[in-house]
Amino acid sequence: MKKILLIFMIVFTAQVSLAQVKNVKGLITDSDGMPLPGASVSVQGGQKGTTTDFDGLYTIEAQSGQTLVFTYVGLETQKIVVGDAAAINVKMKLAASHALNEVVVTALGIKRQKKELGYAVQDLKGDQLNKVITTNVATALSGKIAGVDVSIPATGVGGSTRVIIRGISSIGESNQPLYIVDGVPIDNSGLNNDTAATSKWFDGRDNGDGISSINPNNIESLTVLKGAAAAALYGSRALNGVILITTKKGSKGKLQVELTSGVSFDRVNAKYSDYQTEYGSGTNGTLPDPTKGPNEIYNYTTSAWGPKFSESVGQQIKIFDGSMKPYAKVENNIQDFFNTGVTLSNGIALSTGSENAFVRFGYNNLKNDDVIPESGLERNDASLSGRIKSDKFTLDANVNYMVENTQNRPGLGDSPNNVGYSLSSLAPSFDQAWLKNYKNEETGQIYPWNTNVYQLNPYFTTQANHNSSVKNRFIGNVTGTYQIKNWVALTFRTGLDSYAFSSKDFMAAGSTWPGRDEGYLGLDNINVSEMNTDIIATFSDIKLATDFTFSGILGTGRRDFKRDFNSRFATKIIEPGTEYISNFVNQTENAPVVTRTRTNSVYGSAKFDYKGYLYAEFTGRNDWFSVINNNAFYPAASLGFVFSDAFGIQSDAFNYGKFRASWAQVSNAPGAYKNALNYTSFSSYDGQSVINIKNSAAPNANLTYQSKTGIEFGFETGFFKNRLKADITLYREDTADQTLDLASSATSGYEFLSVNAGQLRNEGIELFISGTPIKTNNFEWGIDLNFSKNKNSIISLHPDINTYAISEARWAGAAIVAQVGGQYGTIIGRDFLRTPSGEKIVDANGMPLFTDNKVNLGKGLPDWAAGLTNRFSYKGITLQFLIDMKFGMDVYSMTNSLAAQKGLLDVTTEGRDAYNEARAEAVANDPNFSQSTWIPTAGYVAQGVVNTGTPANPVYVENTKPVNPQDYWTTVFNNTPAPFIYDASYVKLREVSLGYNIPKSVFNGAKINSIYVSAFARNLLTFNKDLPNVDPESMYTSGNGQGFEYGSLPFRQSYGFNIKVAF
Amino acid sequence: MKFKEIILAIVILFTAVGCTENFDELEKDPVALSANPAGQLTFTQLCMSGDGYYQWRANLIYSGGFVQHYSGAWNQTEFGNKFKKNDDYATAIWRNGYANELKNVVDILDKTKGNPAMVNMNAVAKIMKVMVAHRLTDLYGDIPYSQAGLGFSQGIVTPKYDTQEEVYMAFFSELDEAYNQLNAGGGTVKGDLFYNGDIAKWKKLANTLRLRLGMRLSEVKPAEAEKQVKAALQNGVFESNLDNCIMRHLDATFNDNPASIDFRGNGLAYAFIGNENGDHFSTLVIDYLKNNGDPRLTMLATAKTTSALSGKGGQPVQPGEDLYAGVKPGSFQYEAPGGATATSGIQSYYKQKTTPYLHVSYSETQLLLAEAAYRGWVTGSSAAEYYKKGVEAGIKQLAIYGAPLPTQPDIDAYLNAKPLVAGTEKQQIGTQLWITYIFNSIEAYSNQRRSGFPQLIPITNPDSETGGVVPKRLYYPNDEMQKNEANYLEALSRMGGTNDWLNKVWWDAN
Repeated sequence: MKKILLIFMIVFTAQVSLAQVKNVKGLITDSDGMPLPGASVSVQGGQKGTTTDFDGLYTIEAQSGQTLVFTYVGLETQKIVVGDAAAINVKMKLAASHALNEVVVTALGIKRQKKELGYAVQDLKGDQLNKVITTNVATALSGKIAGVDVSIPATGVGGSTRVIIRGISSIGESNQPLYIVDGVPIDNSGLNNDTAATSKWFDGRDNGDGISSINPNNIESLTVLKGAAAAALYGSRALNGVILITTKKGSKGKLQVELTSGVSFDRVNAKYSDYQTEYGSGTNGTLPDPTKGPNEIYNYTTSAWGPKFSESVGQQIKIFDGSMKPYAKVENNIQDFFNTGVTLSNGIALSTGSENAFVRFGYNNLKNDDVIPESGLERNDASLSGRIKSDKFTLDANVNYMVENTQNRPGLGDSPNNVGYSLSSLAPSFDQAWLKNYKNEETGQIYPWNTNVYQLNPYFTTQANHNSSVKNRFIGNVTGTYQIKNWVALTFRTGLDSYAFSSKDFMAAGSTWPGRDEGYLGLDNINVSEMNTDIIATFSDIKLATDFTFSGILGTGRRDFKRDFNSRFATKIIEPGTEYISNFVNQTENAPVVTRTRTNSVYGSAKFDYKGYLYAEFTGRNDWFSVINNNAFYPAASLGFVFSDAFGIQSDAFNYGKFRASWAQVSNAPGAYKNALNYTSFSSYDGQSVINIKNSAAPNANLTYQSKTGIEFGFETGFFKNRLKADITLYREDTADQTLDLASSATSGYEFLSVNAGQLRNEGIELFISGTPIKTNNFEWGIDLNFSKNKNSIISLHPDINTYAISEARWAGAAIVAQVGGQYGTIIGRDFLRTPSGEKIVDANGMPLFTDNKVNLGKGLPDWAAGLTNRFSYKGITLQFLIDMKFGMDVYSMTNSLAAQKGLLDVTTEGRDAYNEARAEAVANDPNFSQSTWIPTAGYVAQGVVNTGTPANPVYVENTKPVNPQDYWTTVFNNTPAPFIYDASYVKLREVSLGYNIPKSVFNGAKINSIYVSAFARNLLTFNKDLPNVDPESMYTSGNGQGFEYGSLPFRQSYGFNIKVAF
Repeated sequence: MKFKEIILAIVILFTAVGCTENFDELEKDPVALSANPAGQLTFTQLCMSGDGYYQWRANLIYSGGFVQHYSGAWNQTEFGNKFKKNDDYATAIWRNGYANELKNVVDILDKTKGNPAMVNMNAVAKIMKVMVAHRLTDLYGDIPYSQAGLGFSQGIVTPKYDTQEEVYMAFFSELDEAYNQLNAGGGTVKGDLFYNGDIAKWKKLANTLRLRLGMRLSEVKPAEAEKQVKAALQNGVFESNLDNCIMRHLDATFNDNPASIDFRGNGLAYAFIGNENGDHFSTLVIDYLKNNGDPRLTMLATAKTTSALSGKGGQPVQPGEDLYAGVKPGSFQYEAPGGATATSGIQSYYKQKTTPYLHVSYSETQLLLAEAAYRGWVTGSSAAEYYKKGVEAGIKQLAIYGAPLPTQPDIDAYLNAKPLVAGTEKQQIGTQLWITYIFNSIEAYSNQRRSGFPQLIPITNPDSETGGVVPKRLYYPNDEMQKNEANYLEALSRMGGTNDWLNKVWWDAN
């Protein structure tokens, strides 16, 4: 370790001799008197600046009469005039939880005082992101920032998260924000672009996203640029908002070593507590005939239409492997399939620095064994950041290298490898442990275990099939800044995000999956590189007149993006046990998918500061895109007015008031290659080429970018010396000329039409309140409340087409759509046919009737969300908990609809006893009894009416016709999603953490600076009034198709411990 | 550095950035290929039987269920036999037929038009277009045809629905054009998996399709039907099983990943396997073959393995018991007396990836001509002669699957024992066509609706959504309402006002 450090020192230490004027020294401490390392000290109006070392000490050259400015992110900036004293010690003030003079990072990495800004930004410190150990840092954002909607789909190990800022901006494209790390964009496009589509048809997996590569322990702060004006300098990439991440840097001082170690345990809730517990395997109230062979018995593994347990005491049932088992309710059945997940995170960070060079090295290892057996991930992350500076020149370099290995990501939705889908269908008499016997040990045959060939035995999935992936990612940037004059600096910055992702999906021979029944191997390789280079001139504090100051930038940039996707698959394994492609008979290489795009940009900003209370800013950016060979201009204007300063209306009760207003236009460029007809080839037929038109969307030579116009107003207020602060924002954002692949009539030859059409509006309100109700010397209670409400409306789509399909469900023809006049994410499907007064209409046989057309049945996006954080600190102990809630969204739960069809759901018990009894009697009385033609004399009587008149002149009478409940629920399952659309609103106790800073006296004498220990829990409690059996956050995709759940993996609770030791 | 110099430097930089000279190149997909009529023809031919998605839904579940070729497997019985609606099943062939097959055929026509070296390719594409589209109109009724597939080349995204009569008239003229266009000097047809570019065979296929489609109008427009049948016969139809239009599939994987779907294996076989081999021939098929001593019984079906007798469940087939039993339409396999193993299965050679797919056959040609002769539209041979040849060819055509052929004396004995009998001509011919089309249930369903034969076993299941009435068509995708509203509603107004599968298509005037 020492050797490594020595090398770093040699590389990064560059001594530059300086002329001595006068050295001012001092100690900077926080409000508790603890030394504050990394605080900035600068001479006002000059370029000289330094930061405090690890012991909070600084030295700076200054002359008497000059003003020193002391800043620290999150603390109040202090200004002190240099006098005769050689030492100036400063105690920084921690106002409420966020100070008003707070410095925030804005677009292009420019640090600004928050009070200057004419638009909303909200930030989080790194310590709010690593309180809880997660495998994806974005999950830690949940509930913490107003207007940021974070969803964590139930997609298993290494999955992606969904982060949406101020609602959906783009109807048809990704709505996830742009992530910027240390000023340079990283790719967050996701590795499986549409898990919704692939999860519907057999083969969905979530391969994760870009942001999961960022190690939370390296994050210094995170800033969210919510609206168009805040993000406008990112032009064609700003449509969905921007999240800026600043990583930790080294600081001046002796070597500092920080060790972090944590463990987290995950437990699932798979109790399916609203499943019925009275009836087990079987059909029509009977047990399978034990004289029949296994291939007629396995029908009943997932069919719970058997006889009542209470009337079948002591009976035996034959199961799929031919063995006999007791016929009784199995307790705690599905829960036992899952393990306790364990995540270990261990890291070390070393930092040091001299006068003119700083370096920080961080390494972290994260190892996760998932709740699903054999599933897990390991991530190693190393980062190095350094800075060398001289009088006029500063060079920063940051590199981050990450390797992630995952094992056995679960199949999602309809995937035959989805263990959630298989397990949630088990009859209550069927012990999941019986499935362990998936293979006949004598013959090697894999037992078929139910009728659906596309549903595999979960033990076969976890034990015989494997998938794995490796991601190697490099994120790095170099920034050089030359201070040409004291009012102008030139910055050159280049950043590269490059990753290679490869995955292997192996399936053993012998399963029932057609096409993969003789073994399968799929190999995917994705290579992405995103390179951004910028040259920026920064003009600062140019006095135009008394009280009137100008600052601005002028910059130019280029972005080069490359993505290559290559895939191969093979079937029919030659020798079992060897999982590489040449061991397969049939090998197919798919056509590669290659994307190359370039964007050139010019941008600038001008900020005017009048008397330190009125700020106006104008920005503009012009982007030239290669994808459509076109260019676009993005203007923005904003105004910040600190009226409390302007009118001098501060008092003890009201100490700060600011008004903000902004207007801006941003966009995103359309996807590549949509403006020409392209052809692609399939595997050849005996050497003959097989060519198909590649475009599923009719190409459009005139395709252009979509653009968003946003307008925003806000008030910021501070009361009682900032003990209570409120920030309220109102916004309206319209995205017009949506780049859409609009579903067009298949008869045009194209499923879609690439167009610019339609307008979508988001209007909303965001509220952020923070307060410190109690503050004494030893005890403090802090509250942060954020609330956001967003209303989305589709104003127009296309002259010929008024519905855009976002996602289609596997069953009952349900879809998630955007419809003119409606909200994005409306769930549509057939409903029960009803009389004008709302009663269900059934046919003459007692079966329900359904509407011909699909009608609105719900919506997948929330109306409002809120997060409440409470923080209590007493001496060194901090207790923090976060309550996170979302209201107004629905989910079509196909786990529940399938459970109804299979007789598992509690509602399916009605009428069963009567039906079973009547049927048994009919069977006894009629030797030629036929199930398919027998008309039930008792059973389930659907609530509703029958039309005994004509269609034109209906006469409705109460339905009295009994039907087989099994037929009834099968018909309902097939035809309508309506009974299975539930309100998914929830309130969750999202995070609880209890931390303790062990007093130095405890380890006095040891070479330890501090020890911090904490315990935490995540998702401790969930309240939802409507949705049975599955968690309200059970979506199988992080894409736009929110509102479907199918065979979801049980939701997890986690809890664990962290320790942080600094030397 | 002075202020002016800084500005100058920045201006120079910006000028450099403004350069977008390589953007023309970056705008193009680096891995896209060019139009390739031969490769697109291969693709279209593969799709027509290799698309397991709609073979499963349109051919096996619905058509195969409606005409009672099959029964027993869950979705096939529940939806196809009992007439329950499932949008996914009802719209599968509509979605893929237009988006894969018609789209490429229309593109081939577009790219080969007026090219003297591509005259034959152009003609073949015309025939392919009819082959693809007649399935669609037969299943749905009025369909977009004249404006279909033009979403890019002409920007038509909401094609109008032509009446079925207009569509059929277009078929006849296109087939006639294609026939007249095909000539030795019209360039070779590459990529042709049906006939390997044999122009003479394509001419015969054009005429045979004309015969098939001409006969389709026998009830609604007999004079037109007669005219088309005569023209087809005069130009030359199939003359033996060697002329049959067959797709020979490869042992390629059934890949169901939509991103990399592979059409090289037999899609119907994929469907049989996807139904977990749960499909069985119905009692209508088995009983017909059994009662007539038809040698195809053993060529198509496997013997049952356990007894169907009461009390003998699971035991070997008892002495004297029938070896073959179908599954009653509307019943699941396990509901058969004695359970699934007491019923006949489908011979395994029909369920391989490499199982060929028979699109148009000599057998059907002769049987259709038998009916035409019976109606007095054609002379030359008698109806009975045509019938006999049609049945014989229907037996022998099973050889392509690997079914063991009976000896010629055995075949002759059967043919002589079961000749065309006066008074039951339509029934016999209709039934034989239904057997000849056994793995092409879509065509069987069309012919059954037209002719009314064979008579189907009434469906008495109380949970049938139509009360046991066999649907007369498949219903349109409901999303046409959103995507092509005006044209869709106009078509519906001609077809009974509602998108109901009990409304008949135009030629179904029976």
